[in-house]
Amino acid sequence: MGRNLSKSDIPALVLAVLFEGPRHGYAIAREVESRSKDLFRLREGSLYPALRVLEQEQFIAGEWDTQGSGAARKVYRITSQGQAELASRTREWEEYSRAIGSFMGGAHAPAH
Amino acid sequence: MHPHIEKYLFQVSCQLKDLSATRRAEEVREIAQHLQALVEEGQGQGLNESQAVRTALAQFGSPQKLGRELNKAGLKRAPDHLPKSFAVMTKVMIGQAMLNLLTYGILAWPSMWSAVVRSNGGREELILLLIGFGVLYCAVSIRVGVLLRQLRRGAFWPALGLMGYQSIVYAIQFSKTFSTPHSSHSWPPISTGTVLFLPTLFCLMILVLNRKSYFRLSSAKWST
Repeated sequence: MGRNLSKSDIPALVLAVLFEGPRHGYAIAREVESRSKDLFRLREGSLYPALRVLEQEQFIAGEWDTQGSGAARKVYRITSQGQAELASRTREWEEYSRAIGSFMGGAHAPAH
Repeated sequence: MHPHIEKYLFQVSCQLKDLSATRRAEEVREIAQHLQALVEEGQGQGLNESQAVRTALAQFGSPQKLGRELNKAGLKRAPDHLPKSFAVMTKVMIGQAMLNLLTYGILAWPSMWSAVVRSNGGREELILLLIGFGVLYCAVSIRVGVLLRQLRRGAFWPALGLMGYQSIVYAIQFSKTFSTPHSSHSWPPISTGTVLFLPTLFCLMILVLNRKSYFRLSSAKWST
């Protein structure tokens, strides 16, 4: 059973997924789950508000794709501002992870 | 489309009351497509249609909550075609033009024949004043309505500043008008200098505040 993602983590993960290429909402949700090996469960109810905020910030741009054979779908792609934001968030995460790792990495359970 | 999905979409749509009809339709369309894809996925995994629909709707969660969040996110969106500061400033100028029109048009109008009405004990004069302020009150109400919408759209500080400014101007106008009706032929509620100087000052204030409030909203969004 996957764990629900915190709202504050969703924008960064969405940016990371879109960095790989443009996707529509359904594909973004499935990609997050598959890349986390089903550890993360991205609830769609949290995805769309996050997409709107990212659009508003101009980190992503959404366009209706009418070229396919089926119904038009809204496809999102990352913008250059989004790429810069992703790079900054990645740096922050690496620093945070290193700091936590310095405490947890060498820790061993007390021997009894 | 399955009736439960239709009902869900309707409930989401009911919450999108502050979005334009086009944006509302786009939101519903996108969610409908996603739900449909989830239902197909569920059926592909061996669920029957109603089970697949139930699972898909559970993935999306409460329609009211989703709708409210989408509505809120949509409200914070800056106008696509106009820089935000320019849009707010235009509203200030329109408000100021309305104020000037009322000040020098409607309210000054009774004073032109105040000599006539004053000879009748001032009763008609009072009635005209009340009519004038009635119109002014309506104008203020309209302005407040516009400003409240502005507040909900996220331009909090400019809107609050503008409301404060308009209140002060109307208070000055009201007190000066009522304190001088019998000592002056015309009732200039506020001087031309004030009318010209304050809006300019206020526009500069809006530019600063609008910028500040926008950035604060931007950074807050990440943590919500």
